[in-house]
Amino acid sequence: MVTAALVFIFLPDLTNAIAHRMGVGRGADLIFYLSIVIFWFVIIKLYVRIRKLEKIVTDVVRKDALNEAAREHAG
Amino acid sequence: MYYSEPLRRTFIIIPAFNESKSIGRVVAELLPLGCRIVVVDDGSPEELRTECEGNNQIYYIRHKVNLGQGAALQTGIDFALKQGASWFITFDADGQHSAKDIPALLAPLFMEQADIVLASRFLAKGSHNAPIIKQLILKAGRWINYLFTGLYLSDAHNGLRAMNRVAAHSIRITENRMAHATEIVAQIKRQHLRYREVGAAVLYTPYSKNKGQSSLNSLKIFFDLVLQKLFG
Repeated sequence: MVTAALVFIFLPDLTNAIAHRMGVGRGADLIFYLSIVIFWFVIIKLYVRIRKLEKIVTDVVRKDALNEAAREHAG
Repeated sequence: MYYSEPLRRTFIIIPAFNESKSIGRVVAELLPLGCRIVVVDDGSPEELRTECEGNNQIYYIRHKVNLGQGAALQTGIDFALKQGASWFITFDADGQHSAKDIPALLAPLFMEQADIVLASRFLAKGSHNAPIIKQLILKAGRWINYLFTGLYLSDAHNGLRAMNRVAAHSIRITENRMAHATEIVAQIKRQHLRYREVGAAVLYTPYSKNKGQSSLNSLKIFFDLVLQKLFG
């Protein structure tokens, strides 16, 4: 990813060439479209990670709550 | 007409957040029924413990952090299951629900006619004093629920329910916040639980209206449901 970015920064016309072959007007536009797609993936991945974290937090808080309640009602 | 044995094995689960003003009254209204009461304090800044002390009919559980009504319900259900409960009732902490409706909710369970009984304010024996906007949102909510669950119920969002052990075991609430109501209905369909709707009163008081869910919350619930459908 980093090498691709570096290549495109130093050889901007390369993006134009690739863009034209894909039917996109400008190299810069191509970069934008790719970025948007990458953002979607990242956002979705982050959301799934957050859901997993939420589940972990819930499990910990719940376990702790139930343990305390069990202790109170046993002793 | 009450049977005391089943009622000792009936647990009323009350998820509560910041309800120090109303929880005392709600618990007092429920005690005469003879069921056991489980108050799940969902991380209230002021602990509700004091309102629930000194009575061995009441169990107090506290989440150290606020997780949401759905999470609090699941914790309460887990606790009741461990205590060997046979019947489970979910009841709101803000005084919207009436203890008088509980026998009618339990009857189909005791008679083995249903696994879960859902209260509805729109049925014949039900009553409500919701403002028109809320009514419209609820009525639209019925269709959205149908979209997400495949079940069309007359009250899209009622926290008053009764269920037996089979239902309590099969239902697993993963939606911590307000989308849990729809999630429960979805699981009723998926697990093929026998369900019934029974009329019950839902009365908004100035107190609960102040606290209650804004209409925008319906949008939040909708998004939670969509996200759950897409990403689980």
